Amino acid sequence: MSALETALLVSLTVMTVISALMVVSVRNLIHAGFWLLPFFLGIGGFYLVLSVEFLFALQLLLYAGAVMVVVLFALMLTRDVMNPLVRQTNRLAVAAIAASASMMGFLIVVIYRQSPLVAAAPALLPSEDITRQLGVALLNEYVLVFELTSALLLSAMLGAIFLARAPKVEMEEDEE
Amino acid sequence: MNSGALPLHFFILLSAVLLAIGMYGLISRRNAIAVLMSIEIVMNAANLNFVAFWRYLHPHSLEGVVFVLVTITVAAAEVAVGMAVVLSIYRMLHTVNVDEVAQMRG
Repeated sequence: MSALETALLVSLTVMTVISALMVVSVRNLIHAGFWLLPFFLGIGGFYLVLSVEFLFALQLLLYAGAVMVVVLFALMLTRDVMNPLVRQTNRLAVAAIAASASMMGFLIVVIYRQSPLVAAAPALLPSEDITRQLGVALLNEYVLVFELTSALLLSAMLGAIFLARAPKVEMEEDEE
Repeated sequence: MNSGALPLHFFILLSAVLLAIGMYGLISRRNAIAVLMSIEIVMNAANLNFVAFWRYLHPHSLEGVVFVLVTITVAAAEVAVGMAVVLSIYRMLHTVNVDEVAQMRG
């Protein structure tokens, strides 16, 4: 790896981790929503490092595009998301730090225990035309997964429309 | 970018760190939308793990990418339904803080 690649990789890692930290810790939730953008871009950058360009495009379109917009839209429709005086953590915050730090420590110990197994992994192969292979495989071997996914999307869309209907109709529906 | 010298360790450790960050947000945030954002962090960490393991250990079959495709679809569906639920709760109770929503039927 050249010095330039190392520098790029380090900055990508730092950007991803810092923006993830900001998403969970910033008090102004609109800012937290915008911090999602560098996080999603950073994960997309790692897909590029792993030479899966199709997933990078998908990450940009779906996460950095659609999910970001929906999250910000929902934030702007609710109250008290920009007020710096409103507490944004519950009383479990200290316990949450302890729990997630101990989980991270546990995972790191486990990963280093498994070191021989993981270190035996081969280096990356030169990139093939993964997008083309994926398109063929999705309509041959994985066609059931593909169709189930579309059924899931359809039902999620219907469910979202049903849940977000006008208040009056919704209250009547809730009585049933 | 050529990543020939990059060990698989790097990606697993990064995913572990991101998973821990997401879990912290998941437990400590009060606002339901912020909880959903933390879930997105956790899901992205899992996706990164899927792709890294696939790329390093089984690069000749496509299970890793198909898994990630399904996960991304599930995440999109989860965001759509989750936001609809949050807006519906907000209309009924005028708050989306998960520690104030203690009512199970309106």
